[in-house]
Amino acid sequence: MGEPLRSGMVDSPRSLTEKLPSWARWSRWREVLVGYGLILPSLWVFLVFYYGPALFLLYIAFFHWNIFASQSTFVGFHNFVELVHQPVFWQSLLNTAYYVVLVVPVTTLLALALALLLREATRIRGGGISRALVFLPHVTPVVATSIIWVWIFDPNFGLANTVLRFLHLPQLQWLASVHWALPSVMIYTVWHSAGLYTILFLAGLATIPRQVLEAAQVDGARSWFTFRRILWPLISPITFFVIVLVSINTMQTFSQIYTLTGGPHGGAGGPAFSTTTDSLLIYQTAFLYEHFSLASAMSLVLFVLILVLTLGQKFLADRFVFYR
Amino acid sequence: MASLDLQHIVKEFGRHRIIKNLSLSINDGEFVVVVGPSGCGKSTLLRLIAGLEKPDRGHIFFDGARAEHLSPYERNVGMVFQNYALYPHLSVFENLAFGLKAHRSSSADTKRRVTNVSELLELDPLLNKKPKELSGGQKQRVALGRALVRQPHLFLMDEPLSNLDANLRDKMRTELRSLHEKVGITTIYVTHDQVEAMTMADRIVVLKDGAIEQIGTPENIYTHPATTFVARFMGSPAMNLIKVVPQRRGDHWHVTPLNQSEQSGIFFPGLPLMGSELPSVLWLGMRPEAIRLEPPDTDDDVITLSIHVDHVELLGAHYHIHAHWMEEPLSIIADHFSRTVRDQLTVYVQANALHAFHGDTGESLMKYAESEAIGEQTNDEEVYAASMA
Repeated sequence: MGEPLRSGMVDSPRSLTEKLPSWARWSRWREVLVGYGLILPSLWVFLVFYYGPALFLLYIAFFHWNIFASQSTFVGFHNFVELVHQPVFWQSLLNTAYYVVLVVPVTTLLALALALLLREATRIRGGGISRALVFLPHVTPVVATSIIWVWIFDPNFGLANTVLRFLHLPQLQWLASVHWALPSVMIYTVWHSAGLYTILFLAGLATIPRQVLEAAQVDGARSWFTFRRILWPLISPITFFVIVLVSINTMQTFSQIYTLTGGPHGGAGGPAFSTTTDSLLIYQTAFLYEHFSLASAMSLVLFVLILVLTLGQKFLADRFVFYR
Repeated sequence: MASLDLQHIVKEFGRHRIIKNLSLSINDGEFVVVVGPSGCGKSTLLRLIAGLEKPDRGHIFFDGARAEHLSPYERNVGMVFQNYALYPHLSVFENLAFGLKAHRSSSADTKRRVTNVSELLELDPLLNKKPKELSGGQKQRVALGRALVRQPHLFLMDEPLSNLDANLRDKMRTELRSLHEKVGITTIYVTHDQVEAMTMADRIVVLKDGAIEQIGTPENIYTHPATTFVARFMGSPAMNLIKVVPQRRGDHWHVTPLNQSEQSGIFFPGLPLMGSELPSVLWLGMRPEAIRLEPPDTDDDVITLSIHVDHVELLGAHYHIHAHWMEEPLSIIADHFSRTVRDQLTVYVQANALHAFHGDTGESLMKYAESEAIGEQTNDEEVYAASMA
C-alpha cells in the first residue's frame, strides 16, 4: 500500500510509467490531458499567428517567392547580397540607429524624471490625476494622435512653430525638412510612450522600502546623494527592463512614421528617405514593391540586430544591475 | 549626549489625532522605553523626535534649544528601524559608512570610525557581506552600528527586536542594555512588548491612544499601576481585574463581585476611607503572582479566597492556574502545584497586594491613598455620608 502512495508523490514524468493502480494511472493521464486541453486554444493562436509566420519568413528569405506565383525558387543568400547593394537599406539602418540612439535615453530619462516628480506629487492634492494625465497619451491610438501632431508640426499654422515664435527662436519646417523630419517623429514617440515607462518606474520606486529612504534621511544624505547611492541602484532592474523595452519598441516603430510622414497621401519615409527606418522599408518592400523575399531578408537582419542589442544589454545588466 | 523636552505635542494625520497634547522630559543618559499597544502612536512619537515628522502643535527641545525645524541629521539622532532598513545593495562596511560619506568624511576618518563601531559590535567578520547574507541578529547589529557610527546625541529604536526569534530577542535585550551602559547615549526605545519595557528601561512611558497613561520606573509601574489599562498591559499574565461593589463595614471596606450576595465578598482593609471619591462600582485588582496557595507568614492582613480550579499550565519554573472565584475568572502563578489537589481550593492574598480602580474611569484609587490618607478620617466620613444622602 505504501509503494504507490510514495511514487505518486514524486513529481517527475517517470512517475507516469511507474506501476500504479490503473485507476491512479488514468487519473494522472486525465490531469495531463486536461492541462494540455486548457492551453491548446492559446497555443493555436501562437502557432498560427506568431511562430508559423516567423518560420515561413525564415523560409522565403532564402527563396525567390512571389505572393501571386505558385512556385518559388531557392536562391540561397541572394536576397541578402541584394540588400547590401541597396543604398536605401543602409540609409534605413542609419536612420533606425539615429532614432534608437536618441529616443532610448531621452524616453528613459524623461520617464524616470517624471516618475520621481509624480512620486512627490502623490502627497499633494490632485497627485493621482497628474499620474493619469501622464499615462493618458499612451492609451490614445497612434494613428489618430499622429494626425493631430501633423497639424502641430505644420510649418505655417502649427502649434510647434507658434511656441518657437513665442520664445523668439527660429522656426522650423519640421516634417517637411530633411533634417527635422525624423526628430519630429522622435518628439511624437517620446510624447506617446513616456507615460507607460513612467508608470513602470513608479512601480519600481514603490518597491523601495520607505524606511530605507528614511534611514538615508537620518544619515543626513541629501537628495542627489540619496538618488545616486540608493534610488538609482535599487531601481536598476526596472531601468534595465525599461531600456530593453524602449529599444525593442523603437527599433520596430512603424505606425507614427507611416502616418506622420505622409501615410494617407503616400510617400511615407520622406522627405528624401530621411524618415525611412528599417521597419518602414520592410513594409514598403513587401506591400508596395511586392518583393516579399527581400522584405523577409530585411526582417531577419532586424531580428538579429535586436537580438544582438538585447544580449548586449543583458551582458551589461548582469554587471551593473542589482537584484534584491 | 542630550536631554529632550517635549511640550504639548499634537500630531494629526487627516482627521485622526495620533498624538494628543503630549509632554515628556527625558534626562541626559536615560534609557526610556515607550510602550503601548499597536496604534497608540508610539512610532509616530519616535518619528516626531527623530524629525521624520513635524508636529502640528507643540515644541521639541534638544538640550533646551528648539528643534522642530531641524532635520534628523541636524538633530544628530541615530535611529534603528523595525525591519532594520539596511541599504540592501551595499556591504556592511558601506552601510556603516553611508552617513559619513554623505558628509564627505575623509576616508581615513571613515575607516577609523567604522572600525571602532565594528569592534564594539563584533561586526568585523561581516564587513564585506551584503545584508541578504546576514541573519536577523546580525542585521540588527549592523543597524545598531549604522546608528552609532556618527556618535549621535540621541538613540532612537523602533521595535528593534520584534523581527527576531524569542531566544535571540532575550539575548539582544541584554546586549542592548549593556551597550547602553557602555556608550551612555540617551535612548528612546519603542516597543509593544511589556517584557522589553520592564527589563530594559530606566523609565517606562505607557502610551494609550496618543496620550501618556503613566510614566515611572519599572518597579513603580508594576507595583502602582495608575489605571486598569496599565495594570492589564504590564505584567504577564495580566493582573486579575474583577468588578466589585464596595460596602462600608465599620472601619473597613467590604467588596463583593457584581451580582453576588454580600456575604460572599472579602474585606479590603487597604482601600482608603474617602467617601465621596469612592464610586459605586470598582475594579478589584490582584496580580496572579500575588495569590498564594499557602498562607503567607506575615503579620499583615491576609485575604482568603475560595476558588475553583479549571486547568493548570506548566510554564517551566511556574504553574499558571486558571481558576474561578465565584463567577470571575482568576489567573494564579504558583511555584508548586500538586495535581492531586482538589478542584476546590483556598488561596491567600496579602491585603496590601490588592489594587482598586475606579469602575468607570479605570483610574487607580490607591494613589489617592498615598496622598490623602493623611487627611482626617472623620472629615472623609462626613463627605461620604453627605454624598450618600
